[in-house]
Amino acid sequence: MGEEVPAVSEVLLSIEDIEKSFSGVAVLECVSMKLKKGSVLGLVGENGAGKSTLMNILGGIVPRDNGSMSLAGSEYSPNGPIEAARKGIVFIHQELNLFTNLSVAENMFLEKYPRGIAGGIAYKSMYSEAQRMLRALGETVSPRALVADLPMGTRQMIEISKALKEDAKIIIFDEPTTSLSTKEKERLFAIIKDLSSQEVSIIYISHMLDDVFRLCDEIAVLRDGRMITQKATRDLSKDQVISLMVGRELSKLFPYVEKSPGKEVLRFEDISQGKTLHNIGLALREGEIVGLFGLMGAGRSEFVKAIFGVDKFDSGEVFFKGEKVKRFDPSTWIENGVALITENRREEGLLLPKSIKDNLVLAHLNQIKGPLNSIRVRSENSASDRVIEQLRIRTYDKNEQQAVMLSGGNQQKTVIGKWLLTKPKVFLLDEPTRGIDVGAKYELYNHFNDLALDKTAILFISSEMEELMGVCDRICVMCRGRIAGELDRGKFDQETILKLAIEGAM
Amino acid sequence: MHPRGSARAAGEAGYPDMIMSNLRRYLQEKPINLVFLPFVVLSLIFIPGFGRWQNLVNILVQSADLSIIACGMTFVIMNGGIDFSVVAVINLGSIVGASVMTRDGGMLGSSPYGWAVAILVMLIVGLLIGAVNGIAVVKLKMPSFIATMGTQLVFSGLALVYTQSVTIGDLPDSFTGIAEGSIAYVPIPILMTIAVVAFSYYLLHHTVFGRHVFAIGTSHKVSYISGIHVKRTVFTLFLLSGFLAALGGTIMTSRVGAGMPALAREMLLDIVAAVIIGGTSIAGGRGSMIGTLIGAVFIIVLNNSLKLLGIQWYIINVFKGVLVLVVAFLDFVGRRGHRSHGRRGASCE
Amino acid sequence: MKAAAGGQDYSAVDFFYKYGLYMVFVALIAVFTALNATFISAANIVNLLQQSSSASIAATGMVCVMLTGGIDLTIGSIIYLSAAVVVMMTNAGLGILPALVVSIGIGAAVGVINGVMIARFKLVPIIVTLAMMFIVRGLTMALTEIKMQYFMNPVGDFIARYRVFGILPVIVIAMAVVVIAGQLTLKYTAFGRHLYAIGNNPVAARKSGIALDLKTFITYVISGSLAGLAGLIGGAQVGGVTTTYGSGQEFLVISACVLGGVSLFGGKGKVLPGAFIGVLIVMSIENGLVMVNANVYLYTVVRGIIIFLAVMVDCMRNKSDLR
Repeated sequence: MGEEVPAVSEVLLSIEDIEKSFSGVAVLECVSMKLKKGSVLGLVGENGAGKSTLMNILGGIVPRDNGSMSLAGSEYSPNGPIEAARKGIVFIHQELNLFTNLSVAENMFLEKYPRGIAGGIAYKSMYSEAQRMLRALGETVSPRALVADLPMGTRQMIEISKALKEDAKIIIFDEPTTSLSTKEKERLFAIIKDLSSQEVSIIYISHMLDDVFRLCDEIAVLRDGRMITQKATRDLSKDQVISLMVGRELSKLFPYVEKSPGKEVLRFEDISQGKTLHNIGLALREGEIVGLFGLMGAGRSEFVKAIFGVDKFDSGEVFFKGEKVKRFDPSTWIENGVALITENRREEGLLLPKSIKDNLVLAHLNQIKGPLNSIRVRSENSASDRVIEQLRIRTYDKNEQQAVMLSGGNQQKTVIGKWLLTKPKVFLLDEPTRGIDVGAKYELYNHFNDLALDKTAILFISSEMEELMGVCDRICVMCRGRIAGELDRGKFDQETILKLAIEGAM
Repeated sequence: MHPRGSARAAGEAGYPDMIMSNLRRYLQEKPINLVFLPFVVLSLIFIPGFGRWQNLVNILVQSADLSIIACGMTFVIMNGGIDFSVVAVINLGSIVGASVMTRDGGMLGSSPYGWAVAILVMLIVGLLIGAVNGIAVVKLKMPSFIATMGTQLVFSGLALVYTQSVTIGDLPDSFTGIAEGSIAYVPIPILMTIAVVAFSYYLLHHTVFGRHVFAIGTSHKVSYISGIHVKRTVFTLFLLSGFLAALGGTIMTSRVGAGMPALAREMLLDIVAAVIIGGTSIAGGRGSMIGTLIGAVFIIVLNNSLKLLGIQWYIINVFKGVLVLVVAFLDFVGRRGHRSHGRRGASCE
Repeated sequence: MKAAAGGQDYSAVDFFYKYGLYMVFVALIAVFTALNATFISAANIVNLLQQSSSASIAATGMVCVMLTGGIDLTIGSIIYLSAAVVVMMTNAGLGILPALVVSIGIGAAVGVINGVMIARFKLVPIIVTLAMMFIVRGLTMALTEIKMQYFMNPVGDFIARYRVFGILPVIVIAMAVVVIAGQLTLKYTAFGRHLYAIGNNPVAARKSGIALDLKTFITYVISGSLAGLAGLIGGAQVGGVTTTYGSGQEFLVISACVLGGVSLFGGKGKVLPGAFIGVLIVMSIENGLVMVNANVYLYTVVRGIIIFLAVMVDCMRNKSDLR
């Protein structure tokens, strides 16, 4: 008897040379991947590596540009998530697809309710059937319970039950453990192991490498839209994976400028918010660019939003120019020269149907108003022209063109331009270069440098380690709601930073 | 599957695109022009005496109150809400003011300045009801359509309870002279309309407050993050609506010469139609005071002309309702043009 | 908002939300009985049920619309339209069953128009149903030439007076049938459950393959049809249909629904007990006002206060944009 050759039929899903671009920016390039029946495949990569896009393509949510997929030997080309589900591929997102005003069982059987007398829903048999399926996963919740009353872990179990009920052959988990307690996590792992022994394949996306190594048979590493490697877990070490995740050559030159930071202008002490933020401490000095790095769920956006007044935080103190801050709302911050660019520009940064000029001057109007609250049209126009030229925003008519019609990069520039006009002394930037092409990014870095040279303090939140290492004077790393560490420019190192982001303080 | 035009770098938009999008926006923002001019032309042709100077002046005098009230309503609709209580403001203001100045036992019936105080009181009624609405919407977070319907029922009801449906007549001549009088040959109602429209226009289109109204109507979230005081502004909108409704009610009361608790009963459709047909969108963030003015005049012309043609008022209502729907539909078509641009693929991850 | 993923904390507020409705109802009955003992007599109860029939039927339809987060302001005008048409046709000899079909059909037709504009063309429900409210009423007035229409035929008599076994008015039976059927539909059909889903999380609903637009469309058709039926029944009861018949009914029905726990924001509420109790409360207040000989103009004030308070409570539980 010879060695057992891994039969081709063992491979359930095969992805070849997938390509995908959004608005001209390549997000996935030549990605190939194979998934065996009953295997647990860990998919790792930094934010922006392309994991979610790849899974969205797999789950039928987004169409691919090029490449092919085959499922159980035949071609797989879903035209929507419903078709993907029918073919047995279920995607369990972070935002669960559950209805909080319905019971557990009603959610599970939403697409096909069991019928009883006179064609009405047979609740009793539905409850007992739901109970059976939940018990099979070791879940003790009552099928009658309202989803609104249940914790995240339980809700996840319901989604899994739902997936299994629909005869899922492949279940994709996207960062499933971010809102789970330890106990819930252990239960999830037990179930995943169980599922895999029942020949259900699992794709497990997570940046918690410890978990990935515990759970997965194979690990695939994505970096900058490319599949770097897919190997059996036993052939890899954690350090190796971290290396592969960041192992790009830092060949791109970033415009760094030597600065001499001045006095401290904004200090945060012990900021906490529910389960999301724990004792965040951070200080910003004039003329300094401080990077804030972290993986999904680290809490960076929640932090700046809480400070700025978009959300609330529970405890902690903030000092602006040495004085304790009492009011946390956007208008007060703006009056004091602090600006925040949120990461969701379409919903929080821009008035899409309004013109570019309207967007640009939105936060600035109060500063250029005339007598009787009037608008100084000339100041408006000159200010917006100035910014358009400064940032090189490409528009054919700032008064006519609606913001929604701009490309992503120009939209981002418009948001930045809006805040630049408020002449901030502190600039909080959340993913300011996301979705922008390389040339425009470079221009932005130069602008940030100019601002810093002009004594503006900048907090630069980004998921792109490269750009942070290229442009910042110091980098703070957040992990699971805490500050994991801080590095000065001289000590910047990709693997160290990623380790801090994954594992927390060392 | 590329959304039309958006993926191209800005600046590359071709001329046909520009013309189409401009045309679409024009139709969407000023649909009134499509309707108003042909209607005026038709009236000139078919209705004898329509073009006489006196008739035109009459039309402007008649549409004064509607124009003023509609200006106030425009502010509220721009925020995506509606104010049903303007009817109550007019009703209650009318009888309260009348009861102050009526020579037949009114509080200040015998004073020569009773009418001035009465007007003041009517305006205060408008502000008060506006404030109640404002608190309901801003502090209690009630949807405006139901909050203002509540206030409408309560305050109109109070007007009826107080007067038991009896009109309060015998108002001083100085007051009734408002609707009929002129200053320097210009009828007072027209002067008031000009003042109010000019003020509202300036407020909406040329002040920072007005820009904030546009921004808030487009997106509360973006406006808040950009430092705009959303709550304060929305509250002010309801104050404006109440105040201007009261002002319009003054003219109406003067015209009928009595305080009537059901003065504005059938007016709501005219007010809403004037604003919507004038180009203000209830989806929020888009509107025009001049459009509202034209809309109000149009409604009055429509009412008059169709009445002359023998069409009953309730059929005229049907026309107005249909026009509102048509304009709303045009608005949808216009919005869809930019919405397809808005629907990009999933964000890059 | 208590939707936090946690355990079940029952505070006094939660208790009030759940049982407050019944508490108010019982308190109301107590107050009015104290003021006038005949309030609680069998005759008055039957009277109350009869008076509530038309509104309860219309409310059943409104609940469906509100569950998906929409609103239907046309029902008052539909009630008028349906009543007027049925009166004219039955006076001309139409039998009861055809009259039934006609009333429902007319309401359904208006509902179809509403539904197309709202579900298909995504126009704002308030503006659409507000405009249609005027359009339908205007057309009806033209149809009747603003003459008052009197039910002078056996059909009207039957509906208004016939009592099964001499006690139960046929109207009340019709109401019971509709209300029970409505609640059963909401609870025991996929359609009903999907309405709750749509109101709770429209994005997830679409992802799950629930035909959102179609179902929303159907809710307006249901609301229209039931309003038509309500018109038939109500019209027969009053006997004479004037041009203002049904005016303002929509807000009465909406406040009854909100009182009964149906949220304006969608995803919450029941017909039975919910909206039905709401209707009973509103009707008993009106009934009670009659019994204490309240000033006839006080009714509108009371109605306004009811709407205001009911919605205020609903809104304190939900977050929304300030519009």
